Amino acid sequence: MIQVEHLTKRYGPNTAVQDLSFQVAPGEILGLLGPNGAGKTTTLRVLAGFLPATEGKVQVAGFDVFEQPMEVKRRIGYLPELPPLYPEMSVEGYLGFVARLKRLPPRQVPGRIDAVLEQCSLGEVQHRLLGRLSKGYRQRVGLAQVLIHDPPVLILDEPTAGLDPRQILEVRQLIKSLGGSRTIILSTHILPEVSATCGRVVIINRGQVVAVDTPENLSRRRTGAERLLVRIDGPADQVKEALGAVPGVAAVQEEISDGVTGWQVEGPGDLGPALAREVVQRGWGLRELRPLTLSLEDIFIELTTAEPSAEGEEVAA
Amino acid sequence: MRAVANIWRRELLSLFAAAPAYVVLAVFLGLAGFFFYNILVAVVNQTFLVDFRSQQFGGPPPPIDVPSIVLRGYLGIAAQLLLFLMPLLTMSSLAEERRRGTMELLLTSPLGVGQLVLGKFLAVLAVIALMIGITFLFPLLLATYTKVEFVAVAAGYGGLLLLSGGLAALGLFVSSLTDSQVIAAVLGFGLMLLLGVIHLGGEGAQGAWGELLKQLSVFEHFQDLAKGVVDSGDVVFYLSLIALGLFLTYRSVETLRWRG
Ligand SMILES: Nc1ncnc2c1ncn2[C@@H]1O[C@H](COP(=O)(O)OP(=O)(O)OP(=O)(O)O)[C@@H](O)[C@H]1O
Ligand SMILES: [Mg+2]
Repeated sequence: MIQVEHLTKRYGPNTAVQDLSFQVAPGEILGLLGPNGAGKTTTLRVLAGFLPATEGKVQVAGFDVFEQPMEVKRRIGYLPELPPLYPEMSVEGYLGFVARLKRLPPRQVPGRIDAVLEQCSLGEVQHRLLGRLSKGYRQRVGLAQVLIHDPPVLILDEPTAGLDPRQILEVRQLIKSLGGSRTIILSTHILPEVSATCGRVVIINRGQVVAVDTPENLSRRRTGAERLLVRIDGPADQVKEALGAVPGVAAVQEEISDGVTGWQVEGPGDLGPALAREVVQRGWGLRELRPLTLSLEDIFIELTTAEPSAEGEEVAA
Repeated sequence: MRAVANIWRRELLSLFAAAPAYVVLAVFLGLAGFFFYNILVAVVNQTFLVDFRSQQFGGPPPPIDVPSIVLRGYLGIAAQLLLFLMPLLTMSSLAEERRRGTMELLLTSPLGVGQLVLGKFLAVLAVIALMIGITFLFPLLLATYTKVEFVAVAAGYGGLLLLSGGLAALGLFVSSLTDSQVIAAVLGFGLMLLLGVIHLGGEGAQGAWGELLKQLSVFEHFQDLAKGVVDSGDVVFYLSLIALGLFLTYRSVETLRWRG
């Protein structure tokens, strides 16, 4: 549905995106993950046909973005980084304007406005002026604007930016529910966001792809090991020893967070059941046992430091 | 066409809701009324004086067409008022779209740049037509006292609309160059003033150069139209100005994406 081949975008002498290639299958939700300045917005702007690429080929919904921009524009909903709102318009009036802008047949406009107001929980503010809405509501109007003409391809630049935790969950739920029938690419710099919504992740850094994988694999594969957090009611010195003695455990580290002592256990394979059995056999209380996933920062440190050494190994081998 | 109407309608909403269209309208009507009244009084006094003199010295009074003189005077003033007020109507047009990021919405929608520019232009033109249209009360008022040549008057008002159209198109272009309304307004004033006084530069100069500068003045081409004389050269001049302004705006918006 979306094909990006060797995309390069330069702003004058600065390269924002370099030789980027990836694909998004129909019905897939793809996350574009990267730190500030990685080139996420730039990539999405090229996909949406707002920026021309310096080099490379981009196809969306079967059409080349540069050769048949109109065909592409008819089929996409695009949420820019900053929701494109007119402060002096009402929510309803604005959605009507966008609906006509996207060439929705006039008869369908009122029905679609009602539908997206409902979908984005905007019913109670529909008569308010956009300039008077809170940031979270603006973001939601931005999303409603994307959905108004029910496009098959959605391009979302940080769709949950500025939302409160409950709204974040709602919007993620909404995005997830949209997947399947629609192809979605979204950008974010929050890893949990990706795990919660996306089937696949492209991680970019300084305009280049660092990794492409499913969120689950990404959090694990770089360490090549599973990491678990265990909290136990029991004598600390014995606990550490006992955990270390469980078959398969490679390392045990004390971790104190929020004043509560826990143990970070690392090792290849599935450690959970063996750890639980050990604790129960000793008659201690098992308070918590959960897998630790890496934060984005961790992954980045991993990816950016592991890459050169991995190449070095190859050269050596 | 529907796409143009959509842009047109939204732009009018913004002009009246957020931008100073009401203020511009009020200021224009206030000043227009003030000048119209003063010109009327001056011309009427003049007629009395002439009548009085011809009675004293004998002979028939020279014919004085009061409505024509008054309206010609008024239209000349109105053209200058519009020249000053135009940047206020056009400054936000494209600059605000750029600043607010809504340009990103417009340029990623199935909307031609031509449709966008045309919709914007027609919205400004509608506001001007409303302003000028309301002052059509002046000739109607005169008509209740004396005979008014409405064909000539209509030509004058049409000329005023053409002139405003040219200024509006150039104002749009200036607005597309920046994402700051203030800069757009200042640049707009500069350009308008230049077009208004460019013939003064030609006054001292001789020959072709002087003539060229004179031909570029928006007011020079209005003199005949204000009298109700439609010269195709003048009409073509204003239409070219409109076309030039719109074309420059079109190119400017198109290349916006390349400029980032
Ligand atoms: N209009 C522009 N002109 C020049 N350079 C730009 C422009 N837009 C972005 N850049 C540069 O391109 C690079 C990538 O920027 P981009 O906005 O795509 O990053 P991002 O991944 O979206 O970051 P963020 O998480 O902060 O939104 C940055 O170095 C930025 O400074
Ligand atoms: Mg960004």
